[in-house]
Amino acid sequence: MRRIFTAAAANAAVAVIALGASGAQAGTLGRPCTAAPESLYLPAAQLQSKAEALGYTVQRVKIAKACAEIYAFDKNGAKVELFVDPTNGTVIGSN
Amino acid sequence: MSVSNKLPPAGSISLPATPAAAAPPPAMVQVWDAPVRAFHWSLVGLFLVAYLSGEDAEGLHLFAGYCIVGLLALRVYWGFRGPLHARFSDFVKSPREVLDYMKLVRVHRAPRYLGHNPAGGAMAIALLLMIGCICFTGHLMTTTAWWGSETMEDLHEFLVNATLGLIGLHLLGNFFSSHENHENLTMSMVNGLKRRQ
Repeated sequence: MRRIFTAAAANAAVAVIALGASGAQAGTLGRPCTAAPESLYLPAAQLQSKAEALGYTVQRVKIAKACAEIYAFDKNGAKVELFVDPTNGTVIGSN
Repeated sequence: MSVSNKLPPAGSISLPATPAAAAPPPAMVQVWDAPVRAFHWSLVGLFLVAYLSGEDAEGLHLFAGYCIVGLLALRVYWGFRGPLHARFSDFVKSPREVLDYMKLVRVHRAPRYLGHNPAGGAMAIALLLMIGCICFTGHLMTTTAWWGSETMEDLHEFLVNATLGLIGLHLLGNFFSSHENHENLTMSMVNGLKRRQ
């Protein structure tokens, strides 16, 4: 058991280091969705209705790193994270 | 051998039975076994990875988080099946005992423990629980029920910040105890060894 424990811990550590070195798996888009200043961003409610018009059920609109990050469910009820241009509501990417 | 030159003159001490036991004092004993040390430093590394990847690298963040869940599970198992000082029964003390110990700490009269002292044991439990709660709330954030929940995200972050505070206290406790007892507890967590007396 002791060996298993040590091996498991060591493997976890190595795996994390390897994963870290191979580059982060993006949870954010990794790039801005717009170069426009924040003053040109649409209000969150408007970004939400644009996503809803596309058939998404929106749980939350979060503005971060020059993106609107929208937590939503798609038409099939699956979780989806949309990365949206905050100036016009265009979907740039999703998770 | 230079070692024998350092021994006190014969007759001033009671000679040990075997030459091997006549190594220069202080006698070191293994207190933290390999799994405990692997757990501790893996947790340090994974916590750091999770903390740094929280904002920008969700995949890595989740991977580190679930690795921590696995580590915690193994540590809990080891807390019941491991050697003496790895066991909860060795270091989980009542709040009363912890308070009594802290009173002695304040007047610099706290006894030295080979394993965790009562305050250190309480800290270990607090950190295990808090990190467990961080993992749990983090997992909930990925579920349908809490998808996009700002409340859950705020709770997750609050628990992280509270844990950072505990880690600060953990370090202070270690430095203080190391200083009081003229030992290096951080090194003990690296090589597992502590002075017997």
